[in-house]
Amino acid sequence: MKTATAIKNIDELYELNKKYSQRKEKWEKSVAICAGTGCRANKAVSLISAFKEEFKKKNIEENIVLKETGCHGLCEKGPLVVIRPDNIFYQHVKPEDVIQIVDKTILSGEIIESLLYVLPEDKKQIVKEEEIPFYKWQKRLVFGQNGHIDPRSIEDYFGVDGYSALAKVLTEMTPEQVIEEIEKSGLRGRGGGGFPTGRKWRSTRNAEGDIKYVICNADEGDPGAYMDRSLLEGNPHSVIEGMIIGAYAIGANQGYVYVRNEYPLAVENLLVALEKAREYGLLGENILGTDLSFDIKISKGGGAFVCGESTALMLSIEGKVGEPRTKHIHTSESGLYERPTNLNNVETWANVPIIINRGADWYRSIGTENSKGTKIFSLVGKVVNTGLVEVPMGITLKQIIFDIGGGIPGGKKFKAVQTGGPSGGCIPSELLDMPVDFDELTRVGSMMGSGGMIVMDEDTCMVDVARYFLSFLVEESCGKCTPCRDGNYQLYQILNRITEGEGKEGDIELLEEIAETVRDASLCALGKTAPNPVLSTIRYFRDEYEKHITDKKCPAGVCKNLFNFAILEEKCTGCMLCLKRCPQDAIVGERKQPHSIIQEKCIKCGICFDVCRYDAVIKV
Amino acid sequence: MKKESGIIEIEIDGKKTRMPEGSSVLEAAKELGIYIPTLCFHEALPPQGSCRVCIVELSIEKNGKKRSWLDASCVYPVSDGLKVLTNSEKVIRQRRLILELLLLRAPGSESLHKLAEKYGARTDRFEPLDKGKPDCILCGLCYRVCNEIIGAHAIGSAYRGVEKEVITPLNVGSSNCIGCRACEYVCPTGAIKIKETAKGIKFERMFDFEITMIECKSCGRRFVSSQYLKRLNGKSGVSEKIYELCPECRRKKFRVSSY
Repeated sequence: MKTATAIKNIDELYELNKKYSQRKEKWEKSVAICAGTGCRANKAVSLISAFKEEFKKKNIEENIVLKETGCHGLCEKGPLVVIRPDNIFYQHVKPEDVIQIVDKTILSGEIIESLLYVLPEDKKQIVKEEEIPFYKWQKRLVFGQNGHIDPRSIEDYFGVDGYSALAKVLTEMTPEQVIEEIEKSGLRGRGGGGFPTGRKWRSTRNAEGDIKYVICNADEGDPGAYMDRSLLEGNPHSVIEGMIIGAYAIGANQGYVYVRNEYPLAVENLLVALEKAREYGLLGENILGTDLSFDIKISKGGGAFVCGESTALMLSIEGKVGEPRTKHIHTSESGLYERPTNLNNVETWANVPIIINRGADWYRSIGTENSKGTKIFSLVGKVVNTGLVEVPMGITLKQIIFDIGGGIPGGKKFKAVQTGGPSGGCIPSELLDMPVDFDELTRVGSMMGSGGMIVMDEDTCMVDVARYFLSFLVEESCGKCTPCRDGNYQLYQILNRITEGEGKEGDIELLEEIAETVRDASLCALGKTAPNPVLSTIRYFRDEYEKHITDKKCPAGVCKNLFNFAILEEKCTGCMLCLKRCPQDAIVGERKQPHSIIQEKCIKCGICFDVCRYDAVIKV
Repeated sequence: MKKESGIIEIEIDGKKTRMPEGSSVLEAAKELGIYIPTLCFHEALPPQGSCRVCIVELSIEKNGKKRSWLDASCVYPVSDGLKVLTNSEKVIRQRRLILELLLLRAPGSESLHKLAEKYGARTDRFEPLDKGKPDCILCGLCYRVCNEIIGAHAIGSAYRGVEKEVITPLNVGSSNCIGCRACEYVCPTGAIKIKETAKGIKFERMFDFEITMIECKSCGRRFVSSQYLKRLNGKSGVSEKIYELCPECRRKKFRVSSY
């Protein structure tokens, strides 16, 4: 049944676009507060209530609009507040700052310097959001609206031309033309595989069968990755719009979003968005008064990493055990409930309305020869500006990590970056100038994956890193096929042994042999890519493995059995701080006399190393 | 030569054959009399490619470019121009490692040792594995035959990855088991062993429960469970009286009457 608010035809939608885009002009100012997961963890919710309260008190609710937005990206500096139209950017904002912000900045146009972003190199303060290097070098196409709209307000989405791509498709384009446009754009799947999206759509459209499905894969599960989560939380309608366009092109009437239960805010915002879209007649029967009927259901997953694998995902939606099956029968022919199914990830779907609105030719102009458009990365680890960044394909690793990410904190040296999630590879500093795209990352032994990027500094042990990622993959392997289930476990066992100082000659060769079989003979992509962390660290950091095995030394000082703490006599002032803090009474020495460590007592907790102000404690 | 529709030409180890579309490489190899070892494959069930012992090296030439890769022959469909090597150096090397990994799970399996020997798989390269149930290689045949063919749903898989196990619901005896012994029959390693007891049958390994069997009206041997009979009820189209007798007595009785 149609609701009263249902949009009856395309013109009515354009009216709404106009109405809500003009509404913005009437606002004197708007205050966008990041309510994404990162800022929420930093008390953004109480910040929002403080603003609401203050607005009420000052009676400025009419003219100044408060926006609870999705993630702005620069999570490191959260909670973030941006005051528009001047784009004044405040960082680390606390509820107690609110009165000052309202009085000074909002009502008197004065800048509060203590809340501004400070350039680390020359301590210069920056006022405007777009001038902060973190944002300046990005190209925020898909992520662009995240900091501007309230994800729970479909009206906000209308105000940024929301659903106009859908209108364009329904009035001006045949399904065939939509597919041609997506093919021409060069869009490749953002979930990891990088399969050409248009080709996938075409084979699902051409597949026999009257019932077809489209699925949005939101089972993002890589440690440290949260771009799909932030898109669903911050701009769910862009994903929904992409899916409706896909359904029209493919000939599907039912869609699913498979999202993990650990993403409660994404589920909540998506539910609100779906309900609103239904209310406006953008989902359901006869969308916008046309023949298109389509609706979306949410399917919540338990959070198994393997359920991000398309075949396992579909079995999970069906209520069966999420174990991948062999893909020789294409999903486009027989997928969910054995019907032709088209599955794309969150970011891929969100790219669709942009391509339709701005044209494939324009989209193609961004990126490299075989990787078009932008990619969102979650830049985490040992990097100054932790956060979500969206960059054009082909940008170098150096630009991402140093220009946008602000480099390595604490004056440490860059060592490696791991891209592509747990089963990606570690890329060393020699390759920092390489352009980032699907093919280049694969060529150097890593992958795009869904866009995780973990930066590591000189204090990172690469054998330990490989061991860590393998422990994750061993835990997340479904256990169906032998190489992944038992091969990865053996890899993990050997790595564990090496990091504990029990490495043997021949271990590297054995690792390589097992890794080859896991890569070649596993059933699904989880297994096939699982040895990447091992193979890439052996490829680029073989000497580190050898030092662990032959010299029984961990050069980075991470593997506890393979280094000792020692006190440099010439640097030690005899301040007694380490001695007092040592939980094992392993440090001896008189006041103002150099201390020393009794190795037999030392448990390598590292407290002495951390507390010494004179860099006298070293790892040897 | 004109190509027949639905017929695929494929080359395995240099020998060519024609197979109906949709056949697997394993089936084609069988046609040619070429042996490929299998463990998780059983004619009664659709192939699932989980043990990976039947991997072969596949290659295809397209526009002058040759692409080759490994895949499980039991699930890989034949396609025109596909060339298969069942015993290339790479296949042997990787099959050997897979067998070594499986031997860690099933050190007591005679049949697996025989196969492993053929490929020179050893057990001394790795530490013994303290995971899973004795001699079970998690091929999945037992619970698949129980669920997909018998329909009893008495056993299933639980846990994940290296911890995966075949168990009865909640690890207690299964009231769904009809004592058909199909799981024991399909098990490729002998991990499932069932012995006859005074009352019926009992799982010696893998699971821990007993099924009571009904006595044969003629010889008194306990041969079938009441759950089994209930399941057969009406399905076979013959008189239910016939099931009061064990198979031997049944044969004897009908042999006499038919001559």
